[in-house]
Amino acid sequence: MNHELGIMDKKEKILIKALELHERGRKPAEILAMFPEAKAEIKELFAAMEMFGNAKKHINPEPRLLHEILKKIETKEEQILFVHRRRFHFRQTIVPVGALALLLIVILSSLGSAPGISNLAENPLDLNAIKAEAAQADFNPDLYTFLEEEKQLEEIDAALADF
Amino acid sequence: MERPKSGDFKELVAKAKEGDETAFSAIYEQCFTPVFRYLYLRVKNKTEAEDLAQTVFLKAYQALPGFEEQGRPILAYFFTIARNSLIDHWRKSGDRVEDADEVFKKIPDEKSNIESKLDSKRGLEEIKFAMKNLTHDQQEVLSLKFMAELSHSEIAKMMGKSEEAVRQLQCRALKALRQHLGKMNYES
Repeated sequence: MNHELGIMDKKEKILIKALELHERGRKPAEILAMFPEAKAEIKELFAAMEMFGNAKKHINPEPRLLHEILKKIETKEEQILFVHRRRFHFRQTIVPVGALALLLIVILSSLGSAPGISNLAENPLDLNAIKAEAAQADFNPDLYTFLEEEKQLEEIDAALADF
Repeated sequence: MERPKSGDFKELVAKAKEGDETAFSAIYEQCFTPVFRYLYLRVKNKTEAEDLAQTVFLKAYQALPGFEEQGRPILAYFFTIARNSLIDHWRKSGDRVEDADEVFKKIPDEKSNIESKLDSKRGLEEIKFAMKNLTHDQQEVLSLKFMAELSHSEIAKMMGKSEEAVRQLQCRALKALRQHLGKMNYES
């Protein structure tokens, strides 16, 4: 005997069998006919089951509750849509910032040829220009000495190249 | 109608959210109502059952990707979550163990015509009260069997018992319940 079951009398065993048969689809009348010795108990059992069946009919959730729950559930499609929306917001932000940055570059480039703006971009080794810039910006004097020496070395290299 | 499986459930939810009435009815009848009925019988009132039903559904949907059930009906999964949510609820509220004597004081002492009483909502409330006099396992078996409409096999798996033990619990629970509610004639 199964340890979970404890002590069962003959009538209880019949009732358990009756439940099993009922779940398998046998009609109550058939089951009652199979066990005449426990007819009264089986009737009681089915009556209690019917009582539950009747009670159950009164327990019905309101459909609006399920509607509310479904609204709160986020499906996979909605999650994807949410990510797309976030990307869209990102584009909305990055495009104006990019356009503004481009506009600034254009403006700065056009101002680049104006007086007072450095011409070093055109000729990076123009020493006169460097000196002039350094004088304006309080540039480190050691650097011009280095650049002058570099220039002299280039001239020496050029002179030696003739040989 | 066959109970939905995990994959079907996701599809049904998506369709129901788009306004598909058939999908909504399938969820309502096959999943939502059994879960709600089970919860209703185990808690104090409708509001608590509604709150718990909502928690169960949201938890179940969120945990669905990790649910490794293969081809089995989803209802067992819902009831596992429902049972755990109930335990959490009882733990927080501390109101599960109600004194049976107090419960029965609330039931009117009527011995006449139970059948007609059961046609009313009052009959349902009396069953609820009477159930409090049963053991926890007996209550669980009756709720899962008659409200959730699970098979003995499904209940046995859920409760970690044999099918025969579940049937025995059911027999004893029904007998005890009938003793409390009085006798009614059964016409076979």
